[in-house]
Amino acid sequence: MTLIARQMQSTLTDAMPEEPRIRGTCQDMCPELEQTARQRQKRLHRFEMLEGTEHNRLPSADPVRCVKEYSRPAAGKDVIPPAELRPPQVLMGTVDYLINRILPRDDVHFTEVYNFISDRLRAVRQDMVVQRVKGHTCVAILEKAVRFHVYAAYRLCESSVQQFDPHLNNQQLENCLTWLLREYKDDSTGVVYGNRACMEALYLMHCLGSHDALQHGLSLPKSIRECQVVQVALRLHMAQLRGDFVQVFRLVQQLPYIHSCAVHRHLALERSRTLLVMNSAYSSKVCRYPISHLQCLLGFDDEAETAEFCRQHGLKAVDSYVAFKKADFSFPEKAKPKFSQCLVDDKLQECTLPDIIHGKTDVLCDSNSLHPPSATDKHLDSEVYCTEGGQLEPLTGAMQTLSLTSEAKPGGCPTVNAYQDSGQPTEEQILKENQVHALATKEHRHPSGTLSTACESGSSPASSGKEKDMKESVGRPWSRGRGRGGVWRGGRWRGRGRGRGRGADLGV
Amino acid sequence: MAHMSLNSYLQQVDRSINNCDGSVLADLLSFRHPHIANTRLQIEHPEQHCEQFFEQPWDELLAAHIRCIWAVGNHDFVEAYGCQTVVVQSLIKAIQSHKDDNWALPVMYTVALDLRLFALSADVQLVRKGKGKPGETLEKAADVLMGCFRVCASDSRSDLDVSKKWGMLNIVNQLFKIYFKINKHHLCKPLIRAIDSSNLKDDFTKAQLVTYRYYVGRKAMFDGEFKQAEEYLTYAFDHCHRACRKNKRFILIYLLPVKMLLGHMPSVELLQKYDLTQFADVAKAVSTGNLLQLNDAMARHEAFFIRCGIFLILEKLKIITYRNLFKKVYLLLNTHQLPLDAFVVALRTMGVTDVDLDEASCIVANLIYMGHIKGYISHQHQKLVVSKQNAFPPLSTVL
Repeated sequence: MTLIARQMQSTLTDAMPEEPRIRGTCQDMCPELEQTARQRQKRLHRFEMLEGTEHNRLPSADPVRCVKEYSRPAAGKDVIPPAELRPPQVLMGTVDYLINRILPRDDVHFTEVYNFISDRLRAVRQDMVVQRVKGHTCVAILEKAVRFHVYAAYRLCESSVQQFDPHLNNQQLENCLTWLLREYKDDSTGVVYGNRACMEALYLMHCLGSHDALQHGLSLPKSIRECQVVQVALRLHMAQLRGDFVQVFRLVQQLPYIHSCAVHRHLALERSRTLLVMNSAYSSKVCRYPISHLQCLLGFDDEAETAEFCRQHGLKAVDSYVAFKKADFSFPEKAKPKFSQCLVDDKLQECTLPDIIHGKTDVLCDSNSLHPPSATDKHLDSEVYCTEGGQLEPLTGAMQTLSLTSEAKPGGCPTVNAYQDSGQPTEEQILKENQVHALATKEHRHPSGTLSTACESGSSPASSGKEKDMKESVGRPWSRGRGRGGVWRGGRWRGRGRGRGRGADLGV
Repeated sequence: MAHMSLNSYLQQVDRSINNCDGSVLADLLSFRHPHIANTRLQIEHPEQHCEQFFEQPWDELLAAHIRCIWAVGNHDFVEAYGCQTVVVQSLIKAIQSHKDDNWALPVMYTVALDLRLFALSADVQLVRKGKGKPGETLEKAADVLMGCFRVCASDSRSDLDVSKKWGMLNIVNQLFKIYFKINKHHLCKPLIRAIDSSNLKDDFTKAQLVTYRYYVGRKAMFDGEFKQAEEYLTYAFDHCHRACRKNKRFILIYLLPVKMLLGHMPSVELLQKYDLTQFADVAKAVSTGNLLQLNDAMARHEAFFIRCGIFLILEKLKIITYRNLFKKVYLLLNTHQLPLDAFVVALRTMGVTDVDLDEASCIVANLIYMGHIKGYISHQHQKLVVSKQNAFPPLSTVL
């Protein structure tokens, strides 16, 4: 009995007869047969037509621009002949053509570009499956496909379902990702792939909140797990697991551009959850919470957006304050995804679209350069927490010091007792305290000149306006770069200010 | 037994079928039985021999079994898996024709077990050759086993003592093992519903019930339903046979984190008895609110916790640790209005050096939301105002 068990364990090395491998011979991006057939059936895409013949009754195919289209494997179809299969290096060339030439096109709406590339990439993968392509070419193609789908999901997140179905895109993306991760794991080839850490992190970000994904991330080989980008991704996952929303949004700021695109689809839910938690923790009839501070915590682009988000959840947001009240909260029906300037767009900098897909932007961001850290803890007496014993004894000492200092601090923390004694505070009391608070926080200006959390009191409209102006002129360096480079003319797909000029450059 | 001829083997099988002797037949078809090491039974095409002895569907079953012996002899588990599916499917046909009788259930248990084991090995072989994705064959095996389950579950007319429904739980347990292996926990749900709604649910054999509750408890743990997880895993632990130390240890690996989340810390003796001292430091750190020690213990035993799939549950213990730490702060300051600064200080003392007021508030907010602290935060005053009574309710009342 044990013998059999042992036999069953030890039998994994012997070889079964290998089936002969199919190798394609087609040297074009599209087999000739398909070119002529599609030309005859008028099924050429306008990206594939010979220039000048687009308006003919029967446009002719441009052999250097035609790309093999995806066709479903169906019963009754013969085995694909080698002449209609593209060998690995041609597949690679096809992918590069799609990314370098088609993707940056801005003379048509991006959904058309997306549909074309998505379909052609699927055909590329089909050819890979049939020929059992493995190794570097396979990995490189899959990596680009993954980045493309991640980017597209973000770029088209504000589109209607008729224009772009995120579900279908995710299916394609997840197919590519699982295949890619399997390829990385395959130790039979003994190859180490340079982009693995980045792509593993991308997978983690795409599946934020999934136990299985996190478990996968934790069981990665140590060398991969210790890469910085994977570390950030894992910490983000853990923070999300604990509900530590402050950490979540701070870590999102550190992510590279493409990873931010991947995590973007989860942000609305994370923000909703944060509101739910804060709404119960800060629930009070008399207290209010500054919207500007909420904006900082949750990485919103401006106060108006933050206030609107609160209102969608049934909360009252007036005069740059939100009133948290347990009974008011409700989850919105279906929040429409929105672009995020400060969590995603700002990281793009001078990059062109092909650069993103080729993976040239997979670098961690220095969170401090993007968003000044909260300065609210500045008034903490630094000597108090420098006890490094790590045991609870210093804690006792620290507490004693603190309880003394906090009472003595002028203006910092007005006593709460006022409420307890007199029951409900009067209107003036709140107003007065706000003023005190505004004064107390005014000093916390970030050296760079932009207001950090110091704007939590929402004190002067002039200063916040100034902040916006600064962003306006400094931000988005890449949109200028684009015009100069001429790669992607007028590459903005969205008006600068919210609601302004949106849709004007859709180019339909 | 090891050297008998094909004919005498088939005669023995025939006798057991005619006698309706399930346990003997189960042995004769088991891959844990010595007959499968018999080279005289390793035949590639035994169909003709079998047809002489048996009627449909037993001839197919025996032919597939003998071919399977041959395949295993050749270390070809992909082929063995294929043969074993035929065995299982033929057996399903046979059992379906047994109206008002369930003598063949032990046979079903045996062939189902072997099917799962072959699928496991077949997957390994296929992946090695780059022909399949991991878990592909196992998933197919689950489909075949679902066939067994359906035959059992749909037998609603026979009397209880001859009902095939008794076979449900064994098959469900096999399916659980597959679904946990391929990480598709959600597929367990309909099976759990089927068992829980069955009138036999407490009358299955104890061994099966222990396995069943072990898996349901684990699933509940992953779904965050800790009370239910505790109940099921505790049953499994209490009723598992005392000689099965290994199994008891497996149960404890999941029961301990759940208990800790509910505020019950394991004793050192228990941990030593089951060689689970990895939990000792964790338990101590959590109960004293010592984050430093917790992080240290987690880092030290990281590999073990990740392998068992409980690292993430233990990560949740951090929340309990925060609660215990903050309760200390509350007791030390002895006031109902706690400055948030105090928590920052406490966290920094515990080695979370880069923590700031926002993060500390966030942790407090979560504790309030989860019910670990009764009170509210005043952002204007940067204070936590806690309830005068029972500000930190006992853990077992919260989750």
